[in-house]
Amino acid sequence: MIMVRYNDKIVKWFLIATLFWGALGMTAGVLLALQLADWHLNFGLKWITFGRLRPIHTNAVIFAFAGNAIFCGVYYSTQRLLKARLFSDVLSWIHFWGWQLIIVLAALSFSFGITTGKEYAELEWPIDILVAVVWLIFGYNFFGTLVKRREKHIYVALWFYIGTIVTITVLHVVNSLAIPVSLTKSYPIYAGVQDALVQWWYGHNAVGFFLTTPFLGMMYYFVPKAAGRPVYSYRLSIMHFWALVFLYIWAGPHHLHYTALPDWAQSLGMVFSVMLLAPSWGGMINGLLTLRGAWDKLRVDPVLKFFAAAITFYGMSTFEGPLMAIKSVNALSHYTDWTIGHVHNGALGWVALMIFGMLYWLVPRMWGRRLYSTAMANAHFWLAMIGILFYITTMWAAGITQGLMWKEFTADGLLAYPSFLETVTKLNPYYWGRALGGILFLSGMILAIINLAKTAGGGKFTEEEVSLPGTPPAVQNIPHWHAVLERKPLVLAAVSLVVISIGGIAELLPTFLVKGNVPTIASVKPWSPLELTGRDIYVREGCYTCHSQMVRPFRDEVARYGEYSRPGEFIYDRPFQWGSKRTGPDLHRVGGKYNHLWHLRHMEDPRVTSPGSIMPSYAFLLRDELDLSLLQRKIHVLRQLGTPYTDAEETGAVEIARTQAAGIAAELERDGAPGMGDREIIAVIAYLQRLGTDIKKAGPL
Amino acid sequence: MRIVMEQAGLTFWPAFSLVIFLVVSFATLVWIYRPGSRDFYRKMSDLALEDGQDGSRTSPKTPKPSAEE
Repeated sequence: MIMVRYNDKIVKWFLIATLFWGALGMTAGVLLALQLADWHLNFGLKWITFGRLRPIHTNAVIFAFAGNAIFCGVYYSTQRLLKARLFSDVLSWIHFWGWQLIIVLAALSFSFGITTGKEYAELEWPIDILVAVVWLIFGYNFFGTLVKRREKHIYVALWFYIGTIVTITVLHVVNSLAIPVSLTKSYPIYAGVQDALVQWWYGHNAVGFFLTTPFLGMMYYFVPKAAGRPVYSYRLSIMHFWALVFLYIWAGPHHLHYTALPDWAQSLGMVFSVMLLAPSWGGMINGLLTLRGAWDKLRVDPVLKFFAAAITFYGMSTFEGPLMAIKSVNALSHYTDWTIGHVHNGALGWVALMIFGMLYWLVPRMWGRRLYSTAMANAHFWLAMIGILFYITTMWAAGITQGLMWKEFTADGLLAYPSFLETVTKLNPYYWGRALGGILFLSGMILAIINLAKTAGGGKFTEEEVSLPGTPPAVQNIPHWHAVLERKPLVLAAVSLVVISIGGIAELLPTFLVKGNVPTIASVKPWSPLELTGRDIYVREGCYTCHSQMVRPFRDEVARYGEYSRPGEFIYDRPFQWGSKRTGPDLHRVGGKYNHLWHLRHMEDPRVTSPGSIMPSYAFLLRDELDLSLLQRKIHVLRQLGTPYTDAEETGAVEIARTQAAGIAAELERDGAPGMGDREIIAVIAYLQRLGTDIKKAGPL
Repeated sequence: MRIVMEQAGLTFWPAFSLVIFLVVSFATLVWIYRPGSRDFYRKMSDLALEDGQDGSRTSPKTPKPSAEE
């Protein structure tokens, strides 16, 4: 017999980090919800305006809260399933501190406006590289532990972890490919339609392989432990795994229905999204039925309460997702708050409740003490449930209201709500309801922190030590192919890679290779140097978090905004800025709609031009000086990527920008707004005035 | 490859993908229900519960129910 001491210290630190970042990330979420209910809560501070705070919230809850929870759960369960200490303590600590450093850098960079402008992938290239390095360290540590294991077979939870590590590596690397301009600025190697497809291939699968597969792995470990019963059907878990990893990767284009993405890709995304219901519900049923014979414990055991509710929410959100991926439903739901409700159905209901169930199970065991207060845990459960209920029902109601108002016509064939603002002000009560839901959920989280801290404070943390046979168990002779996979983690990883690659390649390759997917439009020209600068400010401020740039081919959208958007209009857009939510109106045809002064006054105080607007004030754009120091380098990088700027445009970029700025400033001065020639607002106006105008020069299409 | 894809068109792509998925799924289904596999899967499903099965826990604390006032 030999003694094996598990590395529980690293589990402990990831657990603490989960609670710490969870509280901060959710606080940011509550502030965002309040900002939408009352714009004053942007406080006129550019560092926390909605557009900058939103990526802080999303990254904090996804990569900091859920990320640390994943590492906590994976390291705890992997060691026990493999009956081996983690491969390397040093790598474990590098992993821990590296990940925390990434989180801090992310929060700082977003608040300073350093962002790629691609949702859930906003980190700039140096941090992206750090993410890749730390993730590979995690992978190396995990696979190293698999190699030194004392258990021959790899339990299904570990397959889900392997699938996560392999797929996230591929997604992160492919989506983050960019050419740096400086330490804090880069342009993606993809443009327009291709950038959109790669981004949502990444975005959807980040949900699939960061917020789903690792938590399913944890479900397959922690739910049987908590229930004291084996998983309901191991066969079903095999089907669940392979079907899920195969199907998930195809479904990304459902985020781009009715956009300029080729129709075949949209159909593919829809069909696979609907099929995804089968493995998802297979997994949900497997999780819930694992509790068979233990249902009575739900009344007294908060751990099982959280797990049962989480799995139920998994079922609900994986029903809602395919429903919303059906094109005719998506026509109503997309760009509305329904999507936000759906996201939080999964994020709060599935991910967060799974995490809390796991933490309530882990802390008493790791600190050797009973949970400080079951009553507090129960109160947390109900606060969370009521909070989620408020959140998702208000967002469903807001989303459907919004979608129907956008689409309604009068008997005379005119838009019933021609002013977008009517649809904004209508939603205010729902936004307060959502904020209340968020506050309730955050209150529950604070109760959990107190309860778990008291539990830990009353106990003594020790690393678990077990005695095991001196040699690994004898190789079992199980004659079938899957047993081979279950004994060979690298083969399993390679097969997983092939399976997830099929969908990715089948969608991305034709989009890149077949020219007919993106017909070019001769009148569409690259952004002028000043417009490019304005576009970069637009990206910096996160305008895409509230405004789309994609007029879909619907009667109401054409009536409201103008010509629907064509794929060829975006070929110089790096990154694409189609957005995923319309808190404000679409901007793709805003060019030339208003004069320069209107834009200036609107940015300074949106209520002046648009009474009832909930947009933050961007008065700082009128104060901050325009920085053109990187402009020539930006043009150079874009030329490398294929944008047809001339030598003169590159070398004379600053001069060209200043000349265009002087023209806009002169018009502003004439209209009563002098002294704006060297301010950031000039570039933003130049960009907005150009948006969607090239197509008008093309004549009838 | 570009020429092949451009000339073949992509309208058949969704149906083709569906066929791949159904074939692979059906094959997996047949495999997991092959004769004599029941015992193997029963053993595999117990793995999560076997943390201390091959050895005994020696650290001072004893696992306890997760919650009690």
